Amino acid sequence: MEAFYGRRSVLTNYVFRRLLAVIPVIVGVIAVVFILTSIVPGDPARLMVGQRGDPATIQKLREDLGLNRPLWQQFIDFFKGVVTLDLGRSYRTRMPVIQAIAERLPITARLALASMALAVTSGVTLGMVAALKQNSMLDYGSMIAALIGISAPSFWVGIMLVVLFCVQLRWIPGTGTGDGSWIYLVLPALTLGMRPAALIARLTRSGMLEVLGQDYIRTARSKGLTEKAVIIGHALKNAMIPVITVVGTGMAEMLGGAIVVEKLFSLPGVGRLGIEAILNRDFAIIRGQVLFMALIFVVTNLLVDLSYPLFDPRIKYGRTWRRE
Amino acid sequence: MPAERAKGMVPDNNRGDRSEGKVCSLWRDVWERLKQNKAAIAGLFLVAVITLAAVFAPLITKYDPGVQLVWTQGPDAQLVPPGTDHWFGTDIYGRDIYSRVVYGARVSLQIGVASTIISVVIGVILGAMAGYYGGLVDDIISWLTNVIFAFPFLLFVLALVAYLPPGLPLMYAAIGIVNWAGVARIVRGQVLSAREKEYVEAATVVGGSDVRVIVKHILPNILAPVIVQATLGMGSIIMLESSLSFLGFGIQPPTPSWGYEIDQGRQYLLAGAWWWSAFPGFAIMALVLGFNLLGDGLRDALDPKQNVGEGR
Amino acid sequence: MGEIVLSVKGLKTYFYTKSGVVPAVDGLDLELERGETLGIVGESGCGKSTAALSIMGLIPSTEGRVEQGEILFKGRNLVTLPRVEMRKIRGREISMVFQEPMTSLNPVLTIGRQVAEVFVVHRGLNQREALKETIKMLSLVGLPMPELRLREYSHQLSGGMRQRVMIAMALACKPDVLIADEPTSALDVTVQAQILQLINELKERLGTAIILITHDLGVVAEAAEKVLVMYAGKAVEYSDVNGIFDNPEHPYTKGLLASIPGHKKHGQRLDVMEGSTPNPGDHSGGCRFYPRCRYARGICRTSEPELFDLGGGHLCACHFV
Repeated sequence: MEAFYGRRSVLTNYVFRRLLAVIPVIVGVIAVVFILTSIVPGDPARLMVGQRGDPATIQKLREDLGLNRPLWQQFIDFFKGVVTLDLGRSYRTRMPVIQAIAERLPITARLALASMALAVTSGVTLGMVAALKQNSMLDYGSMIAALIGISAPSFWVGIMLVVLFCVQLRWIPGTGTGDGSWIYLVLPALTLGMRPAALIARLTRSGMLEVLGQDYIRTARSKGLTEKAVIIGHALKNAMIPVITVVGTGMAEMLGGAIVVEKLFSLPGVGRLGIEAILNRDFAIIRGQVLFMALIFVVTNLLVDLSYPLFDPRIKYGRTWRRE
Repeated sequence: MPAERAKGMVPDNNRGDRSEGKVCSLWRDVWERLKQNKAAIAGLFLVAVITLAAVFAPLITKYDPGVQLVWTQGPDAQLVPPGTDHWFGTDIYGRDIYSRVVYGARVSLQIGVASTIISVVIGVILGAMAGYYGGLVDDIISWLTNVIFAFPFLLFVLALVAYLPPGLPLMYAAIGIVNWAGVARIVRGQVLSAREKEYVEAATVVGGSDVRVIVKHILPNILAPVIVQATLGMGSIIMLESSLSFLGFGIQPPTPSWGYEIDQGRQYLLAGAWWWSAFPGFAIMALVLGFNLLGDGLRDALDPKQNVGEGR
Repeated sequence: MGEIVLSVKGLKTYFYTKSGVVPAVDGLDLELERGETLGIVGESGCGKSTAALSIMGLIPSTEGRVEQGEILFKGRNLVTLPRVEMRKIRGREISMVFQEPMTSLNPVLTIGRQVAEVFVVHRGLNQREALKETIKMLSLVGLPMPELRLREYSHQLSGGMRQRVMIAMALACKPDVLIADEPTSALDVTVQAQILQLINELKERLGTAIILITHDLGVVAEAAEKVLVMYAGKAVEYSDVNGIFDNPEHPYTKGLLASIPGHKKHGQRLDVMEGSTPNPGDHSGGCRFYPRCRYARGICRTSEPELFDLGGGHLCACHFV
């Protein structure tokens, strides 16, 4: 039985160390968000009140926001707030920041998940087909499509999709969330998923081609397996290892891209919340939104890292610099 | 681990003692290999054409990008479809879209080049320090890199530029500050392996200072991967700039910028004026595609065995 | 004479590369009797591995193909056999063990899954039965604690254990022919002997005929009954193992033997054969060994010698024997 325990403890060790390694990053993220939102030239209170504000009002506001206290004390307060899930209240609506984000989150979450699902399924399929039909028209076609997908700005492609499907073909009613039906999610998810899909397609193809040349594929064939069993059973899992990494990095692009796509499709998600906050100079919301998105990204990447051993049993902890 | 890696690399990577003549032939080899790669040449062509157009913009455009013909020619000059006079048509103010696209390349390329320079300088210095000194210095710089990587690129830059006075230098700085981490990571890895090599040890024994060792012996070896990373990075910076200006946080109008044009034009798309949004979009795609193809090609040409990754 | 289970006639396998056609195997003949071990010996690049892959039908179609010749296995020509039929033979009636056990096992699948697969595919067993058979097979090849190994991955095993797993996989369906391509070259010397012994034992037990491909004459001496010496894509000498070691006829075989340490008496100098294997396709008409041969005459340059019987089943392709 010792072999069993041996393996398990290596795995637990890996998980534990990964969790531990993420803590300094999270502390750093909190600090950077604080610095980012504190280096605003000029006085946030004055910016909020505008030109008309009289000194007394501004002074009152400064006190309310705790802006007249030393910066380090503000940081400690902020840090404590993050730990206790209290990010303050919106300067404008007085709504707790956490609540404001929570209200908008389902839309963004649905969008991101739909896009990622789309990107992974279409990317892997396209990449596999391209690799298996190497140097065919199908291969060239899908790789050119992938190259365009990587190079074209997603918001522009999104606009073109709207023109095509909403205006010309009238297959999809329009932008916004409408009645909440899934049909309103199709174009935003296509737009947001395009780039990750293209990246995944390219990586799947190159990964697959590399794996197909490996000795163990020859072994699998020598056992008399069908070509399908060789590819699905023996090659795919190996080829997926680099793709998992892209799911992690792709998440960053999605969170960034969500800001753009939510504007384009008038979706009231977390990204839109940030844009509105910037326009309204609602610093508490901006701070909370940036922090939230960064933390989501950190957590996603942690999950991706933790899922590695599922795909690659050789994994041992040792990568301090991510994705090396 | 670095020691083992370094040992493994010694036989196929002894570029350390290159003389001037060797440097020349090295780059000639790279060029020869690049020439074989059709995709890379296509990329180089796209980049070159757009760069030349940006540099010589006044010579190749008939209209000033800011002139609103609607004031002199009336509504006839509004939303003119592409034709012989206005190759890409005009916008609602009667401005020539071809001119605006050509001048927009200036903004994209300026921001791309300037912030790449900034991020390469920061990245090389910090990455080299992390790799060379190791220990606490490495820990701190690595931590900083990981923290920067924890932010979605667009979000971080947006947070930086959101309420600062808009202007080109701010954009350079903001993008450069976020983008250095990728360069630093690559430089650190290269320095770690280069450091273990014999010639660096030899140079240290002879009594070269740290700075001298880094500049004379390590930097030449990290040049290739940094060039590749910078080229691929140009594509993502240009994409980022266009996203920012699409959101309305880029270079302020009336300076023409591709992302802003796309945003402006999309309101008129439904009315059939597709050209206002379409051409700036093609321009972004062509330039980003150019840098991606060129970067991929350079990666293969500079070192067929090496794998730098996809960039950000 | 026993029953011939596999015979190869005039096999030509060519690869198509950017720099031209490479005739890796260029007219090979061999016969394999049921239950015997045939060693194929030659320097690297002589075409012995290509011959093995040709028999298995595993030449990648993008790189090359069997141009000519027959591979007769139990009365059927494998060259012209439809894919589906060939797949049923592969891994069940003819199977193969490769040189590098490290890279030949799939790193992300468990040992159990990789061995059990053979039972599932060829014998239609369900998962549980297949795992039971797998445990039997793993203990047969001498893997300690086979129940635990089932869930392990190749990187958790030693080189020798990995090769035992490969052998278990290859012999799972008690094939008629096992092709072992340099099965011990990547292993430590002590482990080499164990693996050879294992192969010999299992051959006796299962009655499997073995083609043992190696560049190491020591391995041949230890395990083979018949030996075929290959040079530049063709057989140059064929005999039982005593004939090769005691009465080598072909100059190339003599050269090979002279270069093994320990074959000569103590104190004698080791001979080193001059030159190296020619690139396949370089020769033009004459004997392939002519440029390196110390006995070469004019005829060797112009006419290619055929294999002919010297009596007692000892065949040799040289003008001067």
